[in-house]
Amino acid sequence: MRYLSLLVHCIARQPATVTIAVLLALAFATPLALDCVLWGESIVAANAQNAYTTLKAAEDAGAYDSAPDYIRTENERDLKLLRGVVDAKDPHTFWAAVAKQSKAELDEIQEGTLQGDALNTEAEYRRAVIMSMEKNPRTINYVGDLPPAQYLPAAIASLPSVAWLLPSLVVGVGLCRITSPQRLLGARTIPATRRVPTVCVAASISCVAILVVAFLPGMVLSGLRNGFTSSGLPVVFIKNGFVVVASSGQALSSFLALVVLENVFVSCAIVCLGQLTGGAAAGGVVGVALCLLPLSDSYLSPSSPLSPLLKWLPTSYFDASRLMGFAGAFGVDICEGISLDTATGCIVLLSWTACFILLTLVVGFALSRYHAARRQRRGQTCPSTSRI
Amino acid sequence: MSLDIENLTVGYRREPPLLKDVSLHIDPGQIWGLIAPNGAGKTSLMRAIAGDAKPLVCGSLCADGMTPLKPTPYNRFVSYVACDDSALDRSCTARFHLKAASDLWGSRLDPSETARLFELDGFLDKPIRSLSQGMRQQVTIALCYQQDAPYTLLDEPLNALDPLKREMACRNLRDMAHRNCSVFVSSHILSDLNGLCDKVVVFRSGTAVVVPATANMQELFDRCYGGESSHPSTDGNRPPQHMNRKENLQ
Repeated sequence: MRYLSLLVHCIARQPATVTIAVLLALAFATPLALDCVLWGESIVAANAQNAYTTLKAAEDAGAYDSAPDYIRTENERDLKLLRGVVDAKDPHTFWAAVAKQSKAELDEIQEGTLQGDALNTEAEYRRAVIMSMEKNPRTINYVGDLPPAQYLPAAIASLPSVAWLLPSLVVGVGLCRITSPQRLLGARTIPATRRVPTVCVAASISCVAILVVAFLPGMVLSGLRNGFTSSGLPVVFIKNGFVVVASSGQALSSFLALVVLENVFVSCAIVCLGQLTGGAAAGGVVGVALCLLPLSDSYLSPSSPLSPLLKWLPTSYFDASRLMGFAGAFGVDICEGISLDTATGCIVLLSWTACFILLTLVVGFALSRYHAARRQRRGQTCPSTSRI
Repeated sequence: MSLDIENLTVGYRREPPLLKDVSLHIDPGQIWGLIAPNGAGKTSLMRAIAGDAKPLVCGSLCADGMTPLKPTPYNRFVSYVACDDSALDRSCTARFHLKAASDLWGSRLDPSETARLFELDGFLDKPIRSLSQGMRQQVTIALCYQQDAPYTLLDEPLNALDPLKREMACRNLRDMAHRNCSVFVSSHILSDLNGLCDKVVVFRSGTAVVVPATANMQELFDRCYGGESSHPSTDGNRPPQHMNRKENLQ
């Protein structure tokens, strides 16, 4: 515990640690200031208004005068439904009208009488149904309008996934430097079997602390602005060809768990390499490569040569917004053609972290024994020091 | 109970050995000096004694029954500190480092007493990055003191200190010896070693030789290495030619 507290204390005082925590806190709070648009009331209303205007203009111009009766009937029904949306006086009526209109549209798509994106329409219908069940739903158009529990996933998704891995890079490289053999805290007075896991725990604690510092100001500001327990938008999203409805709690816990565990994994991988090599360079390079790998467009593609393995690779779970939707997310398939889920992600990330720690201990001891044996083969009686 | 070094060969891969067949026997409570020209292998010898596998080619090391094969207890017994600031973390304070040394070595010494002895009180809570080179060296020597390891290897601990601080450091090194800790100290400031060391190690004919301490280390250095010593031998295995003429050092 003493060594752990010394390591955490030391890493917390590094300028890079403080800088990255402040930068991430600013980045996390930025959607509050910039008013990033959500798939909320204003966009749905604008779409309905456009559709209504176009349809009405076509009808007024006599485009349907010579059409068969059943088309004119359907057209009149569509106009009525869209007018219901356009003329809605309050959010409750608005969402109820949207639910009716999108249900009719979905039925037509399923019957084959209308061409359109069935998944997107189904997502819109299910969202509208949930919203219409609330007595007095809030008007939410921007990420900054979301309550804190919904703001966190939306704000995380608004930045590239690599940004949320920066704490692990900074902590990992920092701990490699702090625990290099020439440093006081790298002094090998603690056995490797205790030292390596302790450094990994210190890395994990430090990453979590940075993330807490990064998330807290934005969450508090969001709570002060929108109320800490106010209602938000439903979490409806499309994943691998299905419309999924999740609770805000599920989205929050998924995003938090994945962001924390991906940082734990990367930081532990870096410090384990640092313990083996006695420096920060190798760990830093591997850490950066791990973080950049999933940024490639082809990485999470079903046609990727890695696709059979993607489910078991920790890097596949680095972008939480590809696994779980968030309130107000636009209706696009977040993970097309690949089946990834949060629970498997957590297990994979934890398993790989444990494997790295075990592998470090095994490789370290194997190298030590190899060097000792090689010296003995050469007729040297000199004992070799442990590699880690 | 002693630090036993038997037939140690020190060198680096693909290079001829710096030192061969070094055998030393350091008893508890002694201060040993190490004087040699630049590049002769002082730091490599100290690192090898500390169990660092890089400069250690072959030989055997044993500190109170512990060998580097069991690195954790050996590292507790034998502490090597390069007395530049490479052991220190620039963001942390001297107080943090003293506490860390105390915790990691399980020292029985009080860090605040060590800070008082080494006159660190004025900058104990300042980050290392804001300290001068001399202050950092004071902190580093204080760390070695605080570790309370039975065998402490100090590589040039006095070179950035002013005369008063050097005197204070030497006084505390003697105090370490009184506590039955052995100190192996290399220095180019030979006047500070006068009266400090019990024995002195010099390099001769490619090996290390123990000679009794003299009151005038400068004279001993001149006798061993002469004026040519300012140009280090590029072949560590081959001592300066004049060494062979110095026959009666012991």
